[in-house]
Amino acid sequence: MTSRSRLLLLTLLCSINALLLHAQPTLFHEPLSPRIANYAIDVTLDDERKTLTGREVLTWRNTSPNALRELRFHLYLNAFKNNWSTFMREGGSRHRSFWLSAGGWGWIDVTSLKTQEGQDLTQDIEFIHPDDNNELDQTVIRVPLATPVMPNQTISLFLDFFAKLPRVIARTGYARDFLMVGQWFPKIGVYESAGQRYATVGSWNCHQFHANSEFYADFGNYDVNITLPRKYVVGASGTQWAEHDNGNNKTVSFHAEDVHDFAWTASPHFVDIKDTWQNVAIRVLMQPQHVHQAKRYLKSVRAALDYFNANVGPYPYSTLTIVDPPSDGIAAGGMEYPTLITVETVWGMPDGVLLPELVTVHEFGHQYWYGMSASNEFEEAWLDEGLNQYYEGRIMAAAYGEQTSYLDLFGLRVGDQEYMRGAYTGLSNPSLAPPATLAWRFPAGSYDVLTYDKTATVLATLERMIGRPAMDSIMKTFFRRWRFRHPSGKDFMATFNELVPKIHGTTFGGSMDWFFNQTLFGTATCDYELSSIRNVAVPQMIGIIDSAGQRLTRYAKARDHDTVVYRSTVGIARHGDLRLPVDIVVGFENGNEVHETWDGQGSYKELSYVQSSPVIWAKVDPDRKILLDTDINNNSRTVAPPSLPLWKYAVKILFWIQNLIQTVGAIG
Amino acid sequence: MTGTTAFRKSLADASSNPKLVILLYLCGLLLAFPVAFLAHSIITMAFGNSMAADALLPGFNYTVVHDVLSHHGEAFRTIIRLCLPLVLLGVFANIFLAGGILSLLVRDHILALGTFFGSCGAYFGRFLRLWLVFAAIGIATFALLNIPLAFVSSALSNNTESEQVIIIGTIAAAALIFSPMMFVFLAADYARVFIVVHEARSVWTAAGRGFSFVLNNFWAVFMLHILLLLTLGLATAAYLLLEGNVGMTSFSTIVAVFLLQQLFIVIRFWNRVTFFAGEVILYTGRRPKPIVFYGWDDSPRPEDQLTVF
Repeated sequence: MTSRSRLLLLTLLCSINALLLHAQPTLFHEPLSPRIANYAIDVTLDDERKTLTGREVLTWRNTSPNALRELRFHLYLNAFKNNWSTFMREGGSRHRSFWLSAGGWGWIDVTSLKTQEGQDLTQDIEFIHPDDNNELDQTVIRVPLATPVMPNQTISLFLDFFAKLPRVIARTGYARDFLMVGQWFPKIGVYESAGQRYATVGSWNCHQFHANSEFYADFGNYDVNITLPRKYVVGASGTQWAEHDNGNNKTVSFHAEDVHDFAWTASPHFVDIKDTWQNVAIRVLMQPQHVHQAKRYLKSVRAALDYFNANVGPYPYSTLTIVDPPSDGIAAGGMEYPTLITVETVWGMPDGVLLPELVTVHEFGHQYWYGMSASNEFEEAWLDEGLNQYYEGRIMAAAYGEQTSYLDLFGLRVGDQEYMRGAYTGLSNPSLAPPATLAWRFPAGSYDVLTYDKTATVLATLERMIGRPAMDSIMKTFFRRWRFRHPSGKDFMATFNELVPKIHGTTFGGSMDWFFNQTLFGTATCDYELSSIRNVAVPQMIGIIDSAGQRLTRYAKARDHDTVVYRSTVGIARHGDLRLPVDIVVGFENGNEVHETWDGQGSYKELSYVQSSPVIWAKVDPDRKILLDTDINNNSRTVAPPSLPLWKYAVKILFWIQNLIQTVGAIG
Repeated sequence: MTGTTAFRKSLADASSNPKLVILLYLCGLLLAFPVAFLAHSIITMAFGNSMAADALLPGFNYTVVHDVLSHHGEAFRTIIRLCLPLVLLGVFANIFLAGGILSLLVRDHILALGTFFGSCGAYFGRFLRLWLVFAAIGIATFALLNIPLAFVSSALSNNTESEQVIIIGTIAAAALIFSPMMFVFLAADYARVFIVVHEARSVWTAAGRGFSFVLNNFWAVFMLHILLLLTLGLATAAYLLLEGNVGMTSFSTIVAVFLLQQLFIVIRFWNRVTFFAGEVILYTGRRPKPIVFYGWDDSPRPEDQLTVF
């Protein structure tokens, strides 16, 4: 064979190889999303140094009417570069209580950035700080363009990058030879045209990485080839369509369509468990010591798939990967990426502690709220976390019981939804901030409860007010209209404002803004109290009485019970500033009940009755519609305090104290 | 005298002293009742005339409990804060009462309140000093055992990915610490028996004798205490089974469970008496022959003369 023939053959083989590596399957015949940002990434892992060497081809379309002279990218991994990044400053060297140990820092460098014309823009890259002017934060770059990107023009950019993974923190990094690789590549920001979401002029929406924030990106296709040592079992977003051995390494190829992120995981210890739900291939990557708990993950994710399919909309993807991190990688647990979620458990987790289930249900739910309904998690975290938390409560109640869906152990029963409500109402100051606060502006320690739990409780209250059928109809409509788009909070509210009057007429007024403004955009709290019951026996009429044309004299007698009447008053107080319409039930001694309503305006309402029977009990919000009420124990009152339950617990406390003295005192 | 024989005799001995068991139960009730009464008052104040407490009748209700603790937490924390001094009081009460119990089992065999509490007072000083000695020994033992275990635990944590190893290791470590600690507790018990049987004055001698008795009669001691613990375990299992089936959802069931609970407490006190009785029986059945002491007039003493130290 001549040298020319050899060269020809080599070129042919390389081309075939390249073709094979990028001959990805087509998953959807019609695009589900606008496919604005499409990535083809080749990355090689150095598992000794925990570094990634990557080459990225970004194909990006300018969907705005503006000619753009710059591009902006997220470099999320630089949040873990040092303790002066915005992320570290805001959260300390910890995220959800996981400390970044010395030597565990991570970062990412763009080593080359060229246009398709070959123009080298690397030297023009500039770090910017649009949120806090922290000059030392390097999580956002801008790249000025010599030639603007015209409206509807598609450009291709070629980026080389080098990244060091951190010791696992904020759901990304490594723990020994376990890797969870999220937010690992240069990711273009979202350009919002005027009128899109809250933009009044066209501008980049590309925030720095904050301790409390998550992410925001455009939809597109991803083709990722991961080269790493052969010992690793790899899982990733999308579908694995090829695997090639390269000596000691292998290259695994993934393809994902109509997603806005791509994450992957690797560990030599994964036990790969496969299952299916309808057309969805479920893959659970388990730690060996947790394998016996795989059925818990599978049961809960199937419940979630069923529930969302029936009540929100179909799950369109053909794969779902569930990643179970090891105990020293638990900081990677509890996170969502398109078609890949991370969960968490520990060895020996009792069946009555439903942490694995609720994390699975929650993270799967993010495939809808954030995954397909791609809201801006920086600016409106409530719109994905709160909605998702609300659905988590519903699914857990349906699958595991209303009062046992969080904990069911040794007689202690806690429902998931009541736990969420308790987390919000138990805040020492529930008025700290409204849920619709920018993620990084929440007061310390309040982000989780106000974004997740308060929003979920708000939506659960709304559901009970307008009814579940109405709620489901509206949420289905919202999802159908806004999937594969970027909805905002005002789009969410607009859906309710449009549909609630159609379903309920004027019962709730012309719109639901009065509800959302108080609950999501305000800090008002709710506490209705049944404050008083008073019964006054009205004396018989005595003296001169004109009746039927006759004048009679009536003298005082011993009480004739048939003619005694009671003037009863029932007082209801509104202690919080949240004004919600509320139901009231008043019970009389003769068994009658009267149902009333109050619009919640004013801080006090008095109901009066003149009846032959006194009022003996009354309840405000008897059906527990207003879950936002911070104290349900003052929502009812009787004239004779109930003693039986109090004696029950007094007896129990006596018994516990006797046992305590016996047991501990025995060391004497 | 074997452990099983001592166990059988201890059951009979404790059962033949019902008044003692009732007396101990009443002492325990005297300690627990004020705090329980306070708890009832706080719960009554917290709920007031609210109907919310009705939700607690069928069982635990997280929302009701959460809201009452949120709004009246400080009052309930008072009860928690009272538990520590209450427990300390219970420890000292046990030390005090142990003298009367042991004296009755060794000598009197018939409960007379004056004699009983007189004996409690007579032995309280020695028993308190003994308790302090064994507390120091126990803490030192615990600390010594913890040093190597801490190294092992640290090595495990650093070299394993699996928390299973750490969890099992922790349980094993707890068992390893528990065993020597139990040895110390048993030696303390037999030291007290020694003091009462021999009217010993020196707590250090008593401590030494306690350790030597347990070491020299390890299997008999072990068998006796295992059987006594099993008895308690069976009683606890029976209580849990019965209580679980009755529930507390109406006046009659609340009264029934209350009576069942108090019966269980009485059984626990009876079991405590069986522990004392078993230890006395085992010690007196297996104690070393006494040193015969000849008085200054050289007259011989009977063989079972009490040894005076």
